[in-house]
Amino acid sequence: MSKSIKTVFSHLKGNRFSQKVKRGIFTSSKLNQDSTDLPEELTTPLSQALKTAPAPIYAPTGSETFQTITTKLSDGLTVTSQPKFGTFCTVGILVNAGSRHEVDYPSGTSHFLERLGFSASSLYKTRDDIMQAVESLGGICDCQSSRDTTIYAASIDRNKLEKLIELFADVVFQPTLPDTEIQLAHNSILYELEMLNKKPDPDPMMTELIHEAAFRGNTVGLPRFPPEETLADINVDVLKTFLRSYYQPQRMVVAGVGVDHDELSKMCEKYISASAKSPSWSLDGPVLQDNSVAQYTGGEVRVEKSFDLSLSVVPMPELAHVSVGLEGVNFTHADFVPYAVLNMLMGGGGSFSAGGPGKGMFSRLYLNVLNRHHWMYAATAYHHSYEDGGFFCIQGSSHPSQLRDCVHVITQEFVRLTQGTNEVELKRAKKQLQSMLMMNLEARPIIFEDVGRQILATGVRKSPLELCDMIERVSNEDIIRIAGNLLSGKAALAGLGDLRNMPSLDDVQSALASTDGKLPRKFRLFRS
Amino acid sequence: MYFYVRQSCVWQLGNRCGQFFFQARHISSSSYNDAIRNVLSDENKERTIQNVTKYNENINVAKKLSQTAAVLVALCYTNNVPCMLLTVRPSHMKKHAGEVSFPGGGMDYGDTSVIDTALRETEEEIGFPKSKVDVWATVKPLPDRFLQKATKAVYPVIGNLGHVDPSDLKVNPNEVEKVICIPIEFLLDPYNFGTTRFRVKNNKPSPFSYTMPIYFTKPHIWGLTGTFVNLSLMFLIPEWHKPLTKGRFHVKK
Repeated sequence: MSKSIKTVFSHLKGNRFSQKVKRGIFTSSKLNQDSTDLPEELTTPLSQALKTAPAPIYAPTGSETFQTITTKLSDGLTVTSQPKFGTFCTVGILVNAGSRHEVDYPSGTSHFLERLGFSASSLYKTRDDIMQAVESLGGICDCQSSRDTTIYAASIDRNKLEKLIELFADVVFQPTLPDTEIQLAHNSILYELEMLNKKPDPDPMMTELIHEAAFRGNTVGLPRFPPEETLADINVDVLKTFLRSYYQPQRMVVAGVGVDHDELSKMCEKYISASAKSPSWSLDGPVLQDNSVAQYTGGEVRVEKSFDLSLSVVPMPELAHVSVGLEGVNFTHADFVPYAVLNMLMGGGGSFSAGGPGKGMFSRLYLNVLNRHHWMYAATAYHHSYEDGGFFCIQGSSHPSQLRDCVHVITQEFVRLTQGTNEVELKRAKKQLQSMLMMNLEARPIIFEDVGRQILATGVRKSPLELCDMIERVSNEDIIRIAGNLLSGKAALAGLGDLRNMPSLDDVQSALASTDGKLPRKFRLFRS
Repeated sequence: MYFYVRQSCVWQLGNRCGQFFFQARHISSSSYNDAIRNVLSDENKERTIQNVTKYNENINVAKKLSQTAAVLVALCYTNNVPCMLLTVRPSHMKKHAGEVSFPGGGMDYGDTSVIDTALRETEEEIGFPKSKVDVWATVKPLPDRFLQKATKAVYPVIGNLGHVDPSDLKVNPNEVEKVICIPIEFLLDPYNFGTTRFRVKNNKPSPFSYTMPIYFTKPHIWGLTGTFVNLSLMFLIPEWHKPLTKGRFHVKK
């Protein structure tokens, strides 16, 4: 019997490994005796480095900073860049020119230039050529103008930066402004105006109206969209004068996200500064530059309008819109962050849907206004803030017959602010603001706009962490204080739609100055 | 607050007047300090009266308006610094709530002249007695609003209140929330003021626009009050006053 067992296991005798395993399984106490036979990888504990393996190289922490770098070229052009990892980059030119600078020009000149952005220039015959060129660089481009800034931007492959800067220098400083393109822009703006008038969405119109009411006749209160009667006044000469007055290197910032700063600076010097010395609109000619400071005036603007309700299959509600505004602060003011927190606190939106948790459904305008009054269709708070002024407004929509109550509810909310907030509400508002800020700044185009706008307006960029710190420091006393500041000034009132029941500015002013925010009682003998 | 003020006034430095102002300031700063110290002296009072008289002779009031009002452009010494005294209107006022203005108001039946109106209103609003005010000159009136909307003709009366301590004044809470004294040096510094161009018709470009000064005090001084401040500084210290780049308040003869 033993002989047969021996023969069964005889093939195992010759195999050194299996002998070791056999010994290892059944003689574990003798492991240390056998350690010289096991390979080092199996016997070295994980807490020690392997003697045979090469020494690891760890990535050094803190050697790369993500600070925005800003330098100024000899002609006044500011170049700024934000380092970011990635194959793509976003680069653009921001110009300090917008609808607020149009006091000497027909309204809508900068909007017209926005339509003509990235169109025919000296190196590129048509807009299609430009689009193709940008596509070959791996990306997209766009021009956007607002009340105080015009932005020409593109997102492309990081390695093809030089070609893009050359394209920018050409497109921005050497446009040919041919009649065909101007006619096309003219027609597209006419179409846009028609759509604005037809669509029941009140936001673009209301923004215009409340700005006009708050900053009557000056800078930021000038209309952004050209009214039809002045559209015909905008011709090549007007555009060239505007370009000559405002598109100067000292009023521009070239911002890049995900690019090397020295490379960007060198290319800007080479292409953009050179192109700006002899632009296509020739430097000799009239220069009409306006350096006005925005002045909040307060006041009332009413636009009677009947909306076309038959545009959709489902019957649309007939709505009138009203906006009540008070003077706020500019974005360099120490109180700007408390106002932003206040904006988040008030929140609001449409009554159709709050969007769910995290989207503002616990903000004051939802809890106190939209959840309690079924007839309010929308209530939103905005803080429009510019370099030298700003205003805080609440926009509401309801059926025209209840417009007075709508304004009543809004003024009550304003006055209630002086009583302060509770801890939970304030914490929520601050957290929401911080999370919205951080979430938005994950996207490269938004980082680009943030860096560019901050450098253009103030010359410094406050990093997101700095802003989060400032948000955290806002206290209840700050909210009460700014509420007092808000209510001590003149009101601005704008209305759109059927405004028969809209209260006058005097009534709104007395309501805001009273302790409970109620509109003065109107004793009506005969109901109209 | 001053940071954004400097930013917006950087553009003003491009203006030739601004550069001249700065050069002149650096060259003879001692004469600037002297001018500031002497702005309320008798010598300067005579000169101001002459300036106002010359100005009144050379301009025409553009439009005859039915109602009359007067404001007292109050000069005073506060903390031994020559200042202008202004009032902040309370927030419950129906018109111009929270704005800064000089003491003044509409002409009543009992007033014999606009100077009387200015002094009476000053006494009513801030409790400063009529007898203590040293009236220097009256400038030709300005309309209270631009073009068609004007209803009143407002006469600025320049007067010296002497040494004033704002905390001693008994203000009328219905008309005045608080009294502020702005040093004249502050108002002359180009960093502390700007201009705003207003469009009358929102669509058409200038000449349908007018220019007004704005001073960056805590509540901004703008509008007609800002215009009066600018005009008075022109009479008081013409050599250190930076004129507005555009805009004329009266029609030249």
